[in-house]
Amino acid sequence: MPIRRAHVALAVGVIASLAFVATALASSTYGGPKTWLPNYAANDGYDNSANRWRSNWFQKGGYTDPPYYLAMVTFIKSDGSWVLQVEDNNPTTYSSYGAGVNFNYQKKPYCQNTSTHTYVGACVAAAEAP
Amino acid sequence: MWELALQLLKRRNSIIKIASLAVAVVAAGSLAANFAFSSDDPHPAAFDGPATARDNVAAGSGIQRFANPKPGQVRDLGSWSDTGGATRRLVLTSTDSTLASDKPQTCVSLEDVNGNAGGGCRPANDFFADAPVVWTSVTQAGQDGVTRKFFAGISRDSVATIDFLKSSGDTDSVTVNADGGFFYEVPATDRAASVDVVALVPHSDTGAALQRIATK
Repeated sequence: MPIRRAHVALAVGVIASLAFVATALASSTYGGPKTWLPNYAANDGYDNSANRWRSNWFQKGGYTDPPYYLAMVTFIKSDGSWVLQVEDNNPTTYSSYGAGVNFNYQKKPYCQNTSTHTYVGACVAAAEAP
Repeated sequence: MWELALQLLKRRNSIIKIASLAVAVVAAGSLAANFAFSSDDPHPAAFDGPATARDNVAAGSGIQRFANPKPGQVRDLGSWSDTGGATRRLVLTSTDSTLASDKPQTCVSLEDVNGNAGGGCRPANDFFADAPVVWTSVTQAGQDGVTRKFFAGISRDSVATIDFLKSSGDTDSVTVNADGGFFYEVPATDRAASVDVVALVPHSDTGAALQRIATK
């Protein structure tokens, strides 16, 4: 799929995704949609006590047709440690906290193209009141 | 007399031809059925049967929050204890929500006892599009670095075992359970030596290597 068409498809996917997530969560597309070179990464800002990041996912372009490439998502705590780090080669790679005090601490979402390939995609995170 | 014998012979040949044709049709049908169910089914077999009491996710869990599956769209693929004694549960969810795509997704997720979950999602109608194994890896870390790392996922019916090829050149192997689920924890000695899994190689029940799936 040409990059331009992939971007259009990606934008449609992101909008659809946001429409879904908006029913329950406040979400933010913090990386892309764009072309991700190998090792390219992005992160959003730290959350606050009113709204905590809870879900984080990397939507890789194309969605339906292989090959699928590696990506990683995680949360970075204010002390610099990483939590809920997930890596795979699925079209969507995600991590999401359980309920309650479990996710009520300061952190920020982070994503990275951990493959040796270039692809289009977007990183999205959702926050909610703890 | 000769005419009667000739007619009987022709009729016998016709019966043989019809019987042969019937056998061929049955054989072809059987082959097609086997192909459809054993080697080209794009869907996880775990969804073939109805959901049972164990096929659920807790309200407020990470899986429920992210994939929002409806009743009947969850399959428990098994639970394992990690080397720290904590239970890790593997869950398959089918969801009508569009998530990152305009098509329904199927997600495979690894969940801890607190409901924290991580995994990957693929188009539901072509879940095993490029490999007989769909995997994800979850890393547990703290201020002092990685404390545990897991590989988990689901395979087609044709897979019996999975080799985990390591950067050290060594291999560990796990057996796929009845639901197609598998779980592997990277040994602490490997993590300490910065040895990681570089590929998964699923094998059939006859031991044949089916594919090499790079994880790095």
